[in-house]
Amino acid sequence: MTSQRLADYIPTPPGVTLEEGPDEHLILSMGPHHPSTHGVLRLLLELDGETVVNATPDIGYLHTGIEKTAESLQYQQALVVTDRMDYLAPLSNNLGYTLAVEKLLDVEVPPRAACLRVLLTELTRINSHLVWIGTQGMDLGAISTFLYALREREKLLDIFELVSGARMMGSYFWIGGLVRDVPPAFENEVQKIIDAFPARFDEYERLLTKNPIFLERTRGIGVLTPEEAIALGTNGPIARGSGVDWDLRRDMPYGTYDQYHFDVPLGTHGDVYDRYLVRVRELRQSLSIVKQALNRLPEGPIKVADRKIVPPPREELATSMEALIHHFKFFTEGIKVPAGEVYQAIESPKGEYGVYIVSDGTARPVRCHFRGPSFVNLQALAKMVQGRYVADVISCIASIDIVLGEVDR
Amino acid sequence: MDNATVVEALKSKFGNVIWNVVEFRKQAFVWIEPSRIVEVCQFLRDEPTLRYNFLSDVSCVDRLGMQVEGIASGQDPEKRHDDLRFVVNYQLLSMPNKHRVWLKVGLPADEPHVASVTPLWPSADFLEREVYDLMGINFDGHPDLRRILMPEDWKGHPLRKDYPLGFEEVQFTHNFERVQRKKKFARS
Repeated sequence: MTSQRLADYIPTPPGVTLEEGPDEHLILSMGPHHPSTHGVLRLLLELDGETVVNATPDIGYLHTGIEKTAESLQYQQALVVTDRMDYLAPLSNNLGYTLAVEKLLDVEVPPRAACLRVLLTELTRINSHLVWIGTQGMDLGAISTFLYALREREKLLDIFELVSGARMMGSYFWIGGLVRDVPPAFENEVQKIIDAFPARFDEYERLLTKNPIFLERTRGIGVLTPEEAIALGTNGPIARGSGVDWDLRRDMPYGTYDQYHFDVPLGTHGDVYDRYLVRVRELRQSLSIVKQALNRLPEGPIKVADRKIVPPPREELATSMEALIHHFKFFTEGIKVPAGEVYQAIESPKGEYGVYIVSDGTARPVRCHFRGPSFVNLQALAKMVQGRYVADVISCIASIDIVLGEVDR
Repeated sequence: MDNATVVEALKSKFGNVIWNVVEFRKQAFVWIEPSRIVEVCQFLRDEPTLRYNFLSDVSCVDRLGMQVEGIASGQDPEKRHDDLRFVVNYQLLSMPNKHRVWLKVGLPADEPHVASVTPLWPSADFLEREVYDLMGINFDGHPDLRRILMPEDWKGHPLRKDYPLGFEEVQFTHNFERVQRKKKFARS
Protein backbone atom coordinates (compact mmCIF):
# COMPACT_ATOMS: atom_id res chain seq x y z
CA MET A 1 0.00 0.00 0.00
CA THR A 2 1.49 3.34 -0.96
CA SER A 3 1.64 6.05 1.63
CA GLN A 4 -0.85 8.04 -0.42
CA ARG A 5 -3.49 5.35 -0.03
CA LEU A 6 -2.49 4.64 3.55
CA ALA A 7 -3.25 8.25 4.38
CA ASP A 8 -6.81 7.75 3.21
CA TYR A 9 -7.36 5.01 5.72
CA ILE A 10 -5.35 5.93 8.77
CA PRO A 11 -6.11 9.09 10.69
CA THR A 12 -2.64 10.35 11.44
CA PRO A 13 -1.81 11.62 14.90
CA PRO A 14 -0.50 15.19 15.03
CA GLY A 15 3.19 15.58 14.40
CA VAL A 16 3.34 12.36 12.39
CA THR A 17 3.73 12.45 8.63
CA LEU A 18 3.32 9.45 6.43
CA GLU A 19 5.90 10.77 3.98
CA GLU A 20 9.27 9.14 4.27
CA GLY A 21 11.43 11.57 6.15
CA PRO A 22 15.14 11.58 6.88
CA ASP A 23 14.58 9.53 10.05
CA GLU A 24 12.41 7.05 8.16
CA HIS A 25 9.93 6.16 10.89
CA LEU A 26 7.54 3.37 10.08
CA ILE A 27 3.89 3.60 11.05
CA LEU A 28 2.64 0.16 11.98
CA SER A 29 -1.02 -0.48 12.60
CA MET A 30 -1.31 -3.04 15.37
CA GLY A 31 -4.78 -4.46 15.81
CA PRO A 32 -7.76 -4.21 16.00
CA HIS A 33 -7.80 -8.00 15.73
CA HIS A 34 -4.39 -8.69 17.21
CA PRO A 35 -4.74 -11.40 19.89
CA SER A 36 -2.76 -9.50 22.49
CA THR A 37 -4.91 -6.38 22.33
CA HIS A 38 -7.55 -8.14 24.45
CA GLY A 39 -10.42 -7.19 22.22
CA VAL A 40 -10.55 -4.57 19.53
CA LEU A 41 -7.90 -2.05 20.40
CA ARG A 42 -5.94 -0.61 17.52
CA LEU A 43 -2.55 0.94 18.09
CA LEU A 44 -0.69 3.16 15.68
CA LEU A 45 2.93 2.41 16.46
CA GLU A 46 5.56 4.78 15.18
CA LEU A 47 8.71 2.70 14.87
CA ASP A 48 12.35 3.50 14.41
CA GLY A 49 13.71 0.10 13.53
CA GLU A 50 12.33 -2.06 16.29
CA THR A 51 12.14 0.76 18.82
CA VAL A 52 8.77 2.35 19.53
CA VAL A 53 8.88 6.14 19.16
CA ASN A 54 5.22 6.68 19.95
CA ALA A 55 2.01 4.72 20.30
CA THR A 56 -1.42 6.21 19.65
CA PRO A 57 -4.42 4.15 20.71
CA ASP A 58 -7.36 4.19 18.30
CA ILE A 59 -10.47 3.10 20.18
CA GLY A 60 -14.21 3.09 19.69
CA TYR A 61 -14.70 -0.23 17.87
CA LEU A 62 -16.93 -1.49 20.68
CA HIS A 63 -18.77 1.79 21.28
CA THR A 64 -22.37 0.90 21.99
CA GLY A 65 -23.60 4.21 23.40
CA ILE A 66 -24.38 2.94 26.87
CA GLU A 67 -24.59 6.49 28.26
CA LYS A 68 -27.11 7.48 25.60
CA THR A 69 -29.07 4.26 26.07
CA ALA A 70 -29.32 4.87 29.80
CA GLU A 71 -31.00 8.22 29.17
CA SER A 72 -34.05 6.56 27.63
CA LEU A 73 -34.31 3.79 30.22
CA GLN A 74 -35.75 3.88 33.70
CA TYR A 75 -33.30 3.64 36.58
CA GLN A 76 -33.91 -0.03 37.28
CA GLN A 77 -33.68 -0.84 33.55
CA ALA A 78 -30.42 1.06 33.03
CA LEU A 79 -28.84 -1.14 35.68
CA VAL A 80 -28.83 -4.02 33.22
CA VAL A 81 -26.70 -2.25 30.62
CA THR A 82 -24.00 -1.47 33.18
CA ASP A 83 -23.02 -5.17 33.28
CA ARG A 84 -21.92 -4.93 29.67
CA MET A 85 -19.18 -2.38 30.26
CA ASP A 86 -16.51 -4.26 32.17
CA TYR A 87 -17.72 -7.73 31.32
CA LEU A 88 -15.07 -9.35 33.50
CA ALA A 89 -16.41 -7.58 36.59
CA PRO A 90 -20.14 -7.07 36.00
CA LEU A 91 -21.01 -6.95 39.69
CA SER A 92 -18.54 -4.10 40.29
CA ASN A 93 -20.36 -2.09 37.64
CA ASN A 94 -23.70 -2.96 39.25
CA LEU A 95 -22.37 -1.87 42.62
CA GLY A 96 -21.20 1.54 41.38
CA TYR A 97 -24.50 2.23 39.67
CA THR A 98 -26.75 1.04 42.49
CA LEU A 99 -24.74 2.99 45.07
CA ALA A 100 -25.08 6.12 42.95
CA VAL A 101 -28.85 5.77 42.64
CA GLU A 102 -29.14 4.93 46.33
CA LYS A 103 -27.17 8.07 47.13
CA LEU A 104 -29.71 10.06 45.10
CA LEU A 105 -32.59 8.31 46.85
CA ASP A 106 -30.79 8.62 50.19
CA VAL A 107 -31.45 5.04 51.26
CA GLU A 108 -29.22 2.47 52.90
CA VAL A 109 -29.44 -1.22 52.10
CA PRO A 110 -30.02 -3.73 54.94
CA PRO A 111 -26.92 -5.29 56.58
CA ARG A 112 -27.33 -8.68 54.93
CA ALA A 113 -27.47 -7.12 51.47
CA ALA A 114 -24.47 -4.90 52.23
CA CYS A 115 -22.46 -7.88 53.43
CA LEU A 116 -23.37 -10.00 50.41
CA ARG A 117 -22.46 -7.12 48.12
CA VAL A 118 -18.97 -6.93 49.63
CA LEU A 119 -18.58 -10.70 49.38
CA LEU A 120 -19.67 -10.89 45.77
CA THR A 121 -17.72 -7.85 44.55
CA GLU A 122 -14.58 -9.33 46.06
CA LEU A 123 -15.29 -12.61 44.26
CA THR A 124 -15.71 -10.51 41.13
CA ARG A 125 -12.33 -8.92 41.76
CA ILE A 126 -10.76 -12.36 42.01
CA ASN A 127 -12.57 -13.34 38.82
CA SER A 128 -11.22 -10.31 36.95
CA HIS A 129 -7.68 -10.74 38.27
CA LEU A 130 -7.71 -14.43 37.35
CA VAL A 131 -8.49 -13.60 33.74
CA TRP A 132 -5.79 -10.97 33.85
CA ILE A 133 -3.18 -13.33 35.31
CA GLY A 134 -4.03 -15.83 32.61
CA THR A 135 -3.85 -13.40 29.72
CA GLN A 136 -0.72 -11.69 30.98
CA GLY A 137 0.96 -15.09 31.12
CA MET A 138 -0.41 -16.16 27.76
CA ASP A 139 0.71 -12.99 26.01
CA LEU A 140 4.23 -13.67 27.23
CA GLY A 141 4.14 -17.33 26.22
CA ALA A 142 3.05 -19.06 29.43
CA ILE A 143 -0.11 -20.67 28.13
CA SER A 144 -0.49 -23.13 31.00
CA THR A 145 -1.22 -20.28 33.44
CA PHE A 146 -4.18 -19.27 31.33
CA LEU A 147 -5.65 -22.76 31.45
CA TYR A 148 -5.23 -23.01 35.21
CA ALA A 149 -6.65 -19.53 35.84
CA LEU A 150 -9.74 -20.19 33.76
CA ARG A 151 -10.26 -23.46 35.57
CA GLU A 152 -10.54 -21.53 38.83
CA ARG A 153 -12.67 -18.87 37.20
CA GLU A 154 -15.24 -21.54 36.32
CA LYS A 155 -15.73 -22.13 40.04
CA LEU A 156 -16.47 -18.44 40.54
CA LEU A 157 -18.84 -18.33 37.58
CA ASP A 158 -20.67 -21.26 39.15
CA ILE A 159 -21.22 -19.13 42.27
CA PHE A 160 -22.57 -16.24 40.18
CA GLU A 161 -24.85 -18.68 38.39
CA LEU A 162 -26.01 -20.05 41.72
CA VAL A 163 -27.05 -16.65 43.05
CA SER A 164 -28.32 -14.88 39.93
CA GLY A 165 -28.97 -17.54 37.32
CA ALA A 166 -26.47 -16.06 34.87
CA ARG A 167 -22.77 -16.79 34.69
CA MET A 168 -21.63 -13.33 33.68
CA MET A 169 -24.34 -10.71 33.22
CA GLY A 170 -26.20 -11.40 36.44
CA SER A 171 -27.43 -7.87 37.33
CA TYR A 172 -27.69 -9.33 40.80
CA PHE A 173 -27.43 -6.05 42.72
CA TRP A 174 -30.58 -4.04 42.51
CA ILE A 175 -31.40 -0.55 43.61
CA GLY A 176 -32.24 -0.95 47.30
CA GLY A 177 -30.63 -4.33 47.85
CA LEU A 178 -30.33 -7.58 45.93
CA VAL A 179 -32.63 -9.22 43.41
CA ARG A 180 -33.26 -12.23 45.65
CA ASP A 181 -31.69 -13.93 48.61
CA VAL A 182 -28.85 -16.38 48.09
CA PRO A 183 -29.78 -20.08 47.99
CA PRO A 184 -29.00 -22.31 51.02
CA ALA A 185 -26.07 -23.94 49.21
CA PHE A 186 -24.30 -20.61 48.82
CA GLU A 187 -22.30 -20.51 52.05
CA ASN A 188 -21.01 -24.02 51.52
CA GLU A 189 -19.89 -23.26 47.97
CA VAL A 190 -18.08 -20.08 49.02
CA GLN A 191 -16.39 -21.98 51.85
CA LYS A 192 -15.09 -24.47 49.29
CA ILE A 193 -13.53 -21.61 47.35
CA ILE A 194 -11.96 -20.12 50.47
CA ASP A 195 -10.42 -23.51 51.27
CA ALA A 196 -9.22 -24.34 47.79
CA PHE A 197 -7.96 -21.07 46.35
CA PRO A 198 -4.85 -20.23 48.43
CA ALA A 199 -3.16 -23.38 47.15
CA ARG A 200 -4.14 -22.47 43.60
CA PHE A 201 -2.68 -18.98 43.97
CA ASP A 202 0.57 -20.62 45.11
CA GLU A 203 0.43 -22.68 41.96
CA TYR A 204 0.28 -19.61 39.71
CA GLU A 205 3.10 -18.02 41.61
CA ARG A 206 5.21 -21.14 41.12
CA LEU A 207 4.55 -20.86 37.40
CA LEU A 208 5.30 -17.15 37.03
CA THR A 209 6.83 -15.28 39.96
CA LYS A 210 10.33 -16.70 39.61
CA ASN A 211 10.08 -17.87 36.02
CA PRO A 212 13.24 -16.45 34.33
CA ILE A 213 11.50 -15.85 30.98
CA PHE A 214 8.62 -14.06 32.69
CA LEU A 215 11.04 -11.96 34.75
CA GLU A 216 13.00 -11.06 31.62
CA ARG A 217 9.84 -9.89 29.87
CA THR A 218 8.40 -7.90 32.77
CA ARG A 219 11.09 -6.45 35.01
CA GLY A 220 12.07 -2.85 34.25
CA ILE A 221 9.48 -2.66 31.46
CA GLY A 222 6.73 -0.08 31.17
CA VAL A 223 8.00 1.94 34.12
CA LEU A 224 5.76 4.67 35.53
CA THR A 225 6.92 6.90 38.38
CA PRO A 226 4.30 7.76 41.03
CA GLU A 227 4.13 11.35 39.74
CA GLU A 228 3.54 10.16 36.18
CA ALA A 229 0.94 7.66 37.37
CA ILE A 230 -1.07 10.42 39.06
CA ALA A 231 -0.65 12.93 36.25
CA LEU A 232 -1.77 10.39 33.66
CA GLY A 233 -4.85 9.62 35.72
CA THR A 234 -4.04 5.97 36.29
CA ASN A 235 -5.68 4.33 39.21
CA GLY A 236 -6.04 0.94 40.80
CA PRO A 237 -3.34 -1.73 40.51
CA ILE A 238 -1.31 0.29 37.97
CA ALA A 239 -0.91 3.28 40.29
CA ARG A 240 -0.34 0.98 43.26
CA GLY A 241 2.33 -0.84 41.29
CA SER A 242 4.08 2.52 41.03
CA GLY A 243 3.80 3.01 44.78
CA VAL A 244 0.81 5.38 44.91
CA ASP A 245 -0.77 4.43 48.22
CA TRP A 246 -4.41 4.81 47.24
CA ASP A 247 -7.33 2.42 47.47
CA LEU A 248 -10.87 3.75 47.55
CA ARG A 249 -12.01 0.82 49.64
CA ARG A 250 -9.72 1.95 52.44
CA ASP A 251 -9.35 5.71 51.87
CA MET A 252 -12.90 6.75 50.94
CA PRO A 253 -14.92 3.71 52.00
CA TYR A 254 -18.26 3.03 50.39
CA GLY A 255 -20.77 0.39 51.38
CA THR A 256 -19.50 -1.32 54.52
CA TYR A 257 -15.86 -1.62 53.52
CA ASP A 258 -14.76 0.34 56.60
CA GLN A 259 -15.62 -2.73 58.72
CA TYR A 260 -13.18 -5.07 56.97
CA HIS A 261 -9.48 -5.52 57.51
CA PHE A 262 -7.18 -5.79 54.53
CA ASP A 263 -3.80 -4.59 53.34
CA VAL A 264 -3.22 -2.50 50.25
CA PRO A 265 -0.25 -4.05 48.45
CA LEU A 266 2.16 -1.60 46.87
CA GLY A 267 4.92 -1.89 44.30
CA THR A 268 8.21 -0.02 44.31
CA HIS A 269 9.53 0.08 40.76
CA GLY A 270 6.34 0.78 38.81
CA ASP A 271 7.14 -1.78 36.13
CA VAL A 272 5.05 -4.60 34.70
CA TYR A 273 6.42 -7.06 37.23
CA ASP A 274 5.36 -4.88 40.19
CA ARG A 275 1.86 -4.61 38.78
CA TYR A 276 1.84 -8.39 38.56
CA LEU A 277 2.91 -8.69 42.20
CA VAL A 278 0.30 -6.16 43.33
CA ARG A 279 -2.49 -8.06 41.62
CA VAL A 280 -1.35 -11.44 42.93
CA ARG A 281 -1.31 -10.06 46.47
CA GLU A 282 -4.70 -8.46 45.91
CA LEU A 283 -6.06 -11.90 45.08
CA ARG A 284 -5.14 -13.06 48.57
CA GLN A 285 -6.45 -9.88 50.22
CA SER A 286 -9.78 -10.23 48.38
CA LEU A 287 -10.06 -13.81 49.53
CA SER A 288 -9.48 -12.66 53.10
CA ILE A 289 -12.31 -10.11 52.74
CA VAL A 290 -14.57 -12.85 51.37
CA LYS A 291 -13.73 -14.94 54.40
CA GLN A 292 -14.52 -12.11 56.83
CA ALA A 293 -17.81 -11.39 55.05
CA LEU A 294 -18.87 -15.01 55.10
CA ASN A 295 -18.10 -15.30 58.81
CA ARG A 296 -20.21 -12.29 59.73
CA LEU A 297 -23.04 -12.80 57.23
CA PRO A 298 -26.10 -11.56 59.15
CA GLU A 299 -29.65 -12.80 58.77
CA GLY A 300 -32.40 -10.43 57.73
CA PRO A 301 -34.04 -8.80 54.72
CA ILE A 302 -32.09 -8.29 51.49
CA LYS A 303 -34.10 -5.32 50.21
CA VAL A 304 -35.24 -2.04 51.70
CA ALA A 305 -38.87 -2.01 52.79
CA ASP A 306 -39.86 0.99 50.68
CA ARG A 307 -42.28 -0.25 48.01
CA LYS A 308 -41.60 2.81 45.86
CA ILE A 309 -38.03 1.60 45.39
CA VAL A 310 -38.28 -2.20 45.28
CA PRO A 311 -41.21 -4.23 43.94
CA PRO A 312 -43.23 -6.29 46.46
CA PRO A 313 -42.53 -10.02 46.76
CA ARG A 314 -44.33 -12.16 44.22
CA GLU A 315 -46.40 -14.09 46.76
CA GLU A 316 -47.99 -10.90 48.12
CA LEU A 317 -49.56 -10.06 44.77
CA ALA A 318 -52.25 -12.74 45.11
CA THR A 319 -53.52 -11.43 48.44
CA SER A 320 -52.78 -7.72 48.66
CA MET A 321 -54.31 -5.02 46.45
CA GLU A 322 -51.68 -2.55 47.66
CA ALA A 323 -48.91 -4.88 46.55
CA LEU A 324 -50.49 -5.29 43.14
CA ILE A 325 -50.68 -1.54 42.65
CA HIS A 326 -47.08 -1.06 43.77
CA HIS A 327 -45.95 -3.85 41.48
CA PHE A 328 -47.74 -2.31 38.50
CA LYS A 329 -46.51 1.20 39.25
CA PHE A 330 -42.95 0.03 39.75
CA PHE A 331 -42.69 -1.72 36.41
CA THR A 332 -44.54 0.89 34.35
CA GLU A 333 -43.57 4.21 35.87
CA GLY A 334 -40.34 3.20 37.57
CA ILE A 335 -38.66 4.77 40.57
CA LYS A 336 -39.15 8.47 41.17
CA VAL A 337 -35.69 9.72 42.07
CA PRO A 338 -35.22 13.13 43.70
CA ALA A 339 -33.73 15.84 41.50
CA GLY A 340 -30.04 16.37 41.91
CA GLU A 341 -26.70 15.03 40.81
CA VAL A 342 -24.34 12.53 42.37
CA TYR A 343 -20.99 11.01 41.64
CA GLN A 344 -20.21 7.66 43.19
CA ALA A 345 -16.80 6.07 42.80
CA ILE A 346 -15.89 2.52 43.69
CA GLU A 347 -12.66 0.57 43.48
CA SER A 348 -13.30 -1.81 40.62
CA PRO A 349 -10.64 -4.43 39.78
CA LYS A 350 -9.16 -1.97 37.27
CA GLY A 351 -9.28 1.22 39.31
CA GLU A 352 -11.74 3.98 40.06
CA TYR A 353 -15.06 3.21 38.41
CA GLY A 354 -17.25 6.28 38.74
CA VAL A 355 -20.92 6.83 38.01
CA TYR A 356 -22.21 10.36 37.56
CA ILE A 357 -25.99 10.70 37.41
CA VAL A 358 -28.04 13.84 36.88
CA SER A 359 -31.69 13.49 37.77
CA ASP A 360 -34.53 15.93 37.18
CA GLY A 361 -36.98 14.19 39.49
CA THR A 362 -38.46 11.79 36.93
CA ALA A 363 -37.96 8.05 36.56
CA ARG A 364 -35.23 8.37 33.91
CA PRO A 365 -31.79 9.91 34.30
CA VAL A 366 -31.10 13.13 32.40
CA ARG A 367 -27.47 12.17 32.11
CA CYS A 368 -25.66 9.06 33.12
CA HIS A 369 -21.90 9.19 32.76
CA PHE A 370 -19.52 6.35 33.50
CA ARG A 371 -15.88 6.91 34.25
CA GLY A 372 -14.31 3.69 33.09
CA PRO A 373 -10.95 2.99 34.70
CA SER A 374 -9.67 1.15 31.61
CA PHE A 375 -10.44 4.17 29.44
CA VAL A 376 -8.35 6.53 31.55
CA ASN A 377 -5.61 3.99 32.28
CA LEU A 378 -5.09 3.41 28.57
CA GLN A 379 -3.59 6.90 28.30
CA ALA A 380 -0.55 5.69 30.18
CA LEU A 381 0.33 3.21 27.42
CA ALA A 382 2.23 5.72 25.25
CA LYS A 383 4.37 6.74 28.20
CA MET A 384 5.10 3.10 29.06
CA VAL A 385 6.23 1.96 25.63
CA GLN A 386 8.19 4.95 24.35
CA GLY A 387 11.76 3.90 23.66
CA ARG A 388 11.07 0.20 24.18
CA TYR A 389 10.91 -2.70 21.74
CA VAL A 390 7.75 -3.78 19.95
CA ALA A 391 7.67 -7.00 21.99
CA ASP A 392 7.38 -4.94 25.18
CA VAL A 393 4.21 -3.29 23.88
CA ILE A 394 2.45 -6.65 24.33
CA SER A 395 3.64 -6.88 27.91
CA CYS A 396 2.54 -3.30 28.67
CA ILE A 397 -0.95 -3.67 27.17
CA ALA A 398 -1.48 -6.81 29.21
CA SER A 399 -0.30 -5.08 32.38
CA ILE A 400 -2.86 -2.26 32.00
CA ASP A 401 -5.59 -4.90 32.07
CA ILE A 402 -7.92 -3.12 29.68
CA VAL A 403 -11.39 -4.35 28.93
CA LEU A 404 -12.47 -2.80 25.68
CA GLY A 405 -16.14 -2.98 26.57
CA GLU A 406 -15.38 -0.45 29.28
CA VAL A 407 -12.96 1.65 27.24
CA ASP A 408 -15.53 2.22 24.49
CA ARG A 409 -18.74 1.92 26.50
CA MET B 1 -10.99 18.23 55.06
CA ASP B 2 -14.56 19.29 54.45
CA ASN B 3 -16.51 21.19 51.83
CA ALA B 4 -16.56 24.47 53.78
CA THR B 5 -12.76 24.71 53.86
CA VAL B 6 -12.28 24.44 50.13
CA VAL B 7 -15.23 26.70 49.33
CA GLU B 8 -13.88 29.30 51.75
CA ALA B 9 -10.41 29.08 50.21
CA LEU B 10 -11.81 29.47 46.71
CA LYS B 11 -14.03 32.41 47.67
CA SER B 12 -11.27 34.31 49.42
CA LYS B 13 -8.88 33.79 46.52
CA PHE B 14 -11.20 34.32 43.56
CA GLY B 15 -14.24 36.23 44.85
CA ASN B 16 -16.61 36.93 41.98
CA VAL B 17 -15.20 34.16 39.80
CA ILE B 18 -17.12 31.76 42.00
CA TRP B 19 -20.69 32.10 40.76
CA ASN B 20 -22.43 29.79 43.12
CA VAL B 21 -21.90 26.80 45.39
CA VAL B 22 -24.44 23.99 45.60
CA GLU B 23 -24.17 21.26 48.19
CA PHE B 24 -26.06 18.05 47.61
CA ARG B 25 -25.61 14.76 49.51
CA LYS B 26 -22.38 16.09 51.05
CA GLN B 27 -20.89 16.91 47.65
CA ALA B 28 -19.77 20.46 46.84
CA PHE B 29 -20.49 21.66 43.30
CA VAL B 30 -18.73 24.96 42.62
CA TRP B 31 -19.93 26.98 39.64
CA ILE B 32 -17.16 29.12 38.26
CA GLU B 33 -16.58 31.64 35.50
CA PRO B 34 -15.72 29.57 32.39
CA SER B 35 -12.82 31.78 31.31
CA ARG B 36 -10.97 31.20 34.59
CA ILE B 37 -11.15 27.40 34.76
CA VAL B 38 -7.41 26.79 34.29
CA GLU B 39 -6.50 29.33 36.97
CA VAL B 40 -8.92 27.83 39.49
CA CYS B 41 -7.72 24.30 38.74
CA GLN B 42 -4.11 25.34 39.10
CA PHE B 43 -4.84 26.97 42.45
CA LEU B 44 -6.61 23.87 43.70
CA ARG B 45 -3.80 21.65 42.51
CA ASP B 46 -0.84 23.66 43.78
CA GLU B 47 -2.11 25.23 47.01
CA PRO B 48 -0.29 23.26 49.74
CA THR B 49 -3.32 23.03 52.03
CA LEU B 50 -5.68 21.80 49.31
CA ARG B 51 -3.62 19.66 46.89
CA TYR B 52 -6.29 18.38 44.53
CA ASN B 53 -3.67 16.43 42.65
CA PHE B 54 -5.88 14.01 40.71
CA LEU B 55 -8.30 14.89 37.93
CA SER B 56 -10.65 11.99 38.11
CA ASP B 57 -13.32 12.87 35.58
CA VAL B 58 -14.49 15.41 33.01
CA SER B 59 -18.07 15.11 31.86
CA CYS B 60 -20.75 17.28 30.35
CA VAL B 61 -24.50 17.68 30.70
CA ASP B 62 -26.81 19.00 27.99
CA ARG B 63 -29.59 20.90 29.79
CA LEU B 64 -31.77 21.40 26.71
CA GLY B 65 -35.42 21.00 27.67
CA MET B 66 -34.54 20.26 31.26
CA GLN B 67 -36.60 21.62 34.12
CA VAL B 68 -33.80 23.75 35.50
CA GLU B 69 -35.48 24.56 38.80
CA GLY B 70 -35.62 20.86 39.53
CA ILE B 71 -31.87 20.58 39.87
CA ALA B 72 -30.16 20.14 43.20
CA SER B 73 -33.06 19.20 45.42
CA GLY B 74 -35.41 21.99 44.52
CA GLN B 75 -32.95 24.85 44.68
CA ASP B 76 -32.37 26.96 41.66
CA PRO B 77 -28.60 26.87 41.26
CA GLU B 78 -28.19 29.47 38.58
CA LYS B 79 -31.12 31.72 37.88
CA ARG B 80 -28.93 34.13 35.99
CA HIS B 81 -27.38 31.39 33.83
CA ASP B 82 -30.49 29.64 32.58
CA ASP B 83 -29.42 30.28 29.02
CA LEU B 84 -26.28 28.20 29.52
CA ARG B 85 -27.11 24.96 27.80
CA PHE B 86 -23.99 22.89 28.41
CA VAL B 87 -22.42 22.31 31.79
CA VAL B 88 -18.92 20.83 31.90
CA ASN B 89 -18.01 19.13 35.18
CA TYR B 90 -14.47 18.73 36.40
CA GLN B 91 -14.13 16.30 39.21
CA LEU B 92 -11.03 16.84 41.32
CA LEU B 93 -9.75 14.44 43.92
CA SER B 94 -7.27 15.27 46.66
CA MET B 95 -5.45 12.07 47.52
CA PRO B 96 -3.61 13.55 50.54
CA ASN B 97 -6.82 15.02 52.02
CA LYS B 98 -9.21 12.32 50.78
CA HIS B 99 -11.69 14.82 49.49
CA ARG B 100 -13.48 15.51 46.22
CA VAL B 101 -14.70 18.76 44.75
CA TRP B 102 -16.68 19.40 41.57
CA LEU B 103 -16.10 22.43 39.36
CA LYS B 104 -18.88 23.35 36.96
CA VAL B 105 -18.72 25.72 34.03
CA GLY B 106 -21.83 26.69 32.06
CA LEU B 107 -21.42 27.19 28.32
CA PRO B 108 -23.83 28.69 25.75
CA ALA B 109 -25.56 26.68 23.03
CA ASP B 110 -23.65 28.37 20.19
CA GLU B 111 -20.05 27.32 19.75
CA PRO B 112 -19.42 26.20 23.30
CA HIS B 113 -15.74 26.32 24.12
CA VAL B 114 -13.60 26.37 27.23
CA ALA B 115 -9.87 26.27 27.90
CA SER B 116 -8.33 22.82 28.12
CA VAL B 117 -6.80 21.64 31.39
CA THR B 118 -4.36 19.26 29.65
CA PRO B 119 -1.37 21.48 30.59
CA LEU B 120 -2.18 20.76 34.26
CA TRP B 121 -3.16 17.10 33.97
CA PRO B 122 -2.18 15.01 30.93
CA SER B 123 -5.04 12.69 31.96
CA ALA B 124 -7.51 15.29 30.65
CA ASP B 125 -6.48 14.29 27.11
CA PHE B 126 -8.89 11.36 26.59
CA LEU B 127 -11.53 12.77 28.92
CA GLU B 128 -11.80 16.05 27.00
CA ARG B 129 -11.70 14.28 23.67
CA GLU B 130 -14.64 12.18 24.80
CA VAL B 131 -16.63 15.30 25.76
CA TYR B 132 -15.73 16.91 22.42
CA ASP B 133 -16.75 13.80 20.52
CA LEU B 134 -20.07 13.14 22.21
CA MET B 135 -21.15 16.66 23.23
CA GLY B 136 -19.33 18.96 20.81
CA ILE B 137 -17.57 21.15 23.36
CA ASN B 138 -14.35 22.66 21.99
CA PHE B 139 -11.42 22.65 24.35
CA ASP B 140 -9.05 25.48 23.41
CA GLY B 141 -5.42 24.50 23.61
CA HIS B 142 -6.02 20.75 23.59
CA PRO B 143 -3.07 19.14 21.77
CA ASP B 144 -5.08 16.59 19.80
CA LEU B 145 -8.79 17.33 19.69
CA ARG B 146 -10.17 14.54 17.48
CA ARG B 147 -13.11 12.20 17.79
CA ILE B 148 -12.28 9.31 20.08
CA LEU B 149 -15.26 6.94 20.32
CA MET B 150 -17.27 7.70 17.19
CA PRO B 151 -15.87 7.15 13.67
CA GLU B 152 -13.77 9.97 12.21
CA ASP B 153 -16.39 10.93 9.65
CA TRP B 154 -19.39 10.91 12.00
CA LYS B 155 -21.79 13.83 11.75
CA GLY B 156 -23.13 15.42 14.92
CA HIS B 157 -22.57 14.80 18.59
CA PRO B 158 -24.68 11.88 19.84
CA LEU B 159 -25.07 12.76 23.53
CA ARG B 160 -26.72 16.10 22.76
CA LYS B 161 -30.41 16.08 23.58
CA ASP B 162 -31.41 17.25 20.09
CA TYR B 163 -29.54 14.42 18.38
CA PRO B 164 -32.17 12.29 16.63
CA LEU B 165 -32.82 8.96 18.30
CA GLY B 166 -34.37 7.40 15.21
CA PHE B 167 -37.53 6.26 16.95
CA GLU B 168 -40.51 7.69 18.77
CA GLU B 169 -41.65 6.58 22.18
CA VAL B 170 -45.27 5.68 22.80
CA GLN B 171 -47.09 8.34 24.79
CA PHE B 172 -49.03 7.44 27.91
CA THR B 173 -50.68 9.77 30.40
CA HIS B 174 -47.80 9.42 32.82
CA ASN B 175 -45.08 10.33 30.31
CA PHE B 176 -47.04 12.49 27.88
CA GLU B 177 -45.23 15.74 28.63
CA ARG B 178 -41.74 14.26 28.46
CA VAL B 179 -42.32 12.46 25.16
CA GLN B 180 -43.99 15.56 23.73
CA ARG B 181 -40.93 17.66 24.57
CA LYS B 182 -38.62 15.23 22.81
CA LYS B 183 -40.88 14.66 19.81
CA LYS B 184 -39.27 17.19 17.51
CA PHE B 185 -35.89 15.51 18.01
CA ALA B 186 -37.16 11.96 17.68
CA ARG B 187 -36.44 11.32 14.00
CA SER B 188 -33.68 12.53 11.74
